[in-house]
Amino acid sequence: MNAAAPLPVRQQVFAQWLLRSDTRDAPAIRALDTHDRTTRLRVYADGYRWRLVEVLGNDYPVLRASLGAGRFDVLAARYLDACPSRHPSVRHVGARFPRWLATHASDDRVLSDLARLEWRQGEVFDAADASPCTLDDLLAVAHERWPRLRVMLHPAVRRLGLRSNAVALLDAHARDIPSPRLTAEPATNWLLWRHDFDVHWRRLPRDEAMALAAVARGDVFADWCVRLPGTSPALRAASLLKRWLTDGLVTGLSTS
Amino acid sequence: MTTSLHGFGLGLRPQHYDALLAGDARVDWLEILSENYLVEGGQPLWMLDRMAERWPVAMHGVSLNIGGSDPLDRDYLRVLGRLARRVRPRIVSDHVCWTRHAGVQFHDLLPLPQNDDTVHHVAARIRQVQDALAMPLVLENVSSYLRFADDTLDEAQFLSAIVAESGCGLLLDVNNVFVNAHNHGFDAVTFLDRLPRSAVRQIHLAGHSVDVQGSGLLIDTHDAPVPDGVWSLYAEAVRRFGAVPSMIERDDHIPPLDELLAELDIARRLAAEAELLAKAA
Repeated sequence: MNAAAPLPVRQQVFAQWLLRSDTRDAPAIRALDTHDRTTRLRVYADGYRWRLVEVLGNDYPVLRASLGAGRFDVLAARYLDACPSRHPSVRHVGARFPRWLATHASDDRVLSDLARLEWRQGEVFDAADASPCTLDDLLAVAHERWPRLRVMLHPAVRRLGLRSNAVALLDAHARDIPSPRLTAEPATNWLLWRHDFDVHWRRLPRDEAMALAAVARGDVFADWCVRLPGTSPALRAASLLKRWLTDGLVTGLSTS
Repeated sequence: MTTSLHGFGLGLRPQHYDALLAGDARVDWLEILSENYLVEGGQPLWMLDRMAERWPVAMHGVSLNIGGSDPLDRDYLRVLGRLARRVRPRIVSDHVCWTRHAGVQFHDLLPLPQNDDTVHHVAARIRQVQDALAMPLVLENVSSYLRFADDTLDEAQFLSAIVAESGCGLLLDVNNVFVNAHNHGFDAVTFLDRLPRSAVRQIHLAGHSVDVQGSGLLIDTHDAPVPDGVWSLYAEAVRRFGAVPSMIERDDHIPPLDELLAELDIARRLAAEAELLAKAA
């Protein structure tokens, strides 16, 4: 590279060095000798890779513990090669890791399951704030307007379908007790939400998972109530609404 | 530009939230890492609001990419501006470096070619950022591990030229000067003498480590107490630049708050001694 190379070209060369660590791509620097040159360039290339591997380890501590540091770090480095960061905050580096695992560690789909759970947990932690509605807000809705009632969920509410015991591992990590081995299990539905800055999770019965999915789509009460199984769907719907309000999941009630 | 930041501060870290809110810490202001609070809500922003109620805040970013050749990230500037309106910072700062290319974020403070073209490029972008934020910008000298073969300016010339052309302020990281003096073989005190005195708005103090690979390079790790050599250089800095707001940065191996406050007392003592020497002179 000559002295007249414009800045974009120079930064392209440096970027390729960071991403590929191929000495044929290395920028021209001042150095005492070849060893000194390699050493100085390596500080940046190694720093880039291992800093972000460490970030992923912090974002996915349960997955890292489950896999072991060695295997996790190899997968994390491969992920970074495939999906370099595009967001100015390092908080988002791991956003595509669960999907990447599903595709590239496909011999072990439970890894992606656990990663999705851990990522959702982070999303819940710093999702937008909103004032929850109370039971009194629901009682203020005239009965004849209930069929048209739309429920707005708190921005920190997340629903998740799992086919593993990932929650058991997360629970063991949170309670600092020995973790079970990550294994495949029949499909279950889970709810994650935030209360007093703490992230909570619980398993959803099938009918509640269906109702929450409908609410999240914007369906009105009449639409999802009739799809509830059992002999008293209205009573079941009312009890679900009461629980959601008690847990602070609801931030809006509208009949317009 | 004038600053209303005075005294001695700390980099705000989540490990110290409770101790800061519970006690009466001897700290005059707090510096936040801006990117840690570019979130939608939850505990981080709630805590930030509580801290901003009690202490003046400086915002310190790592992703402005002021020396990059990608266009400035308008979405980033928008959320940075939103955060600034929330905490009303006394200083908004970032680094003299590049961090992104062709859309890829490297999350590192990468070195710039030190020449006149880069000075013009950086100065023009500083003006764009200041217009977008409607605030003056302060930029920090970064640690580095290499110099480009065709650099035509040394670091002091490079920083001085950027300040002269853009009017931006300098955040003088004394540890970075110490690290660079070692890594590139220049005299750190002479370096301080060559900086534009009136431009220094804030001082950072931190620790570093020796490259574990055995190269002998010093690495800017912020994972250890401020070492004696950096304290000595800080004393030289305050003799030259006066009562500049100074703070300690610690990003790894974070100790209890009291340990950092004790380190901050060293900075207070050195600054007071420098003031006495200046008066005596």
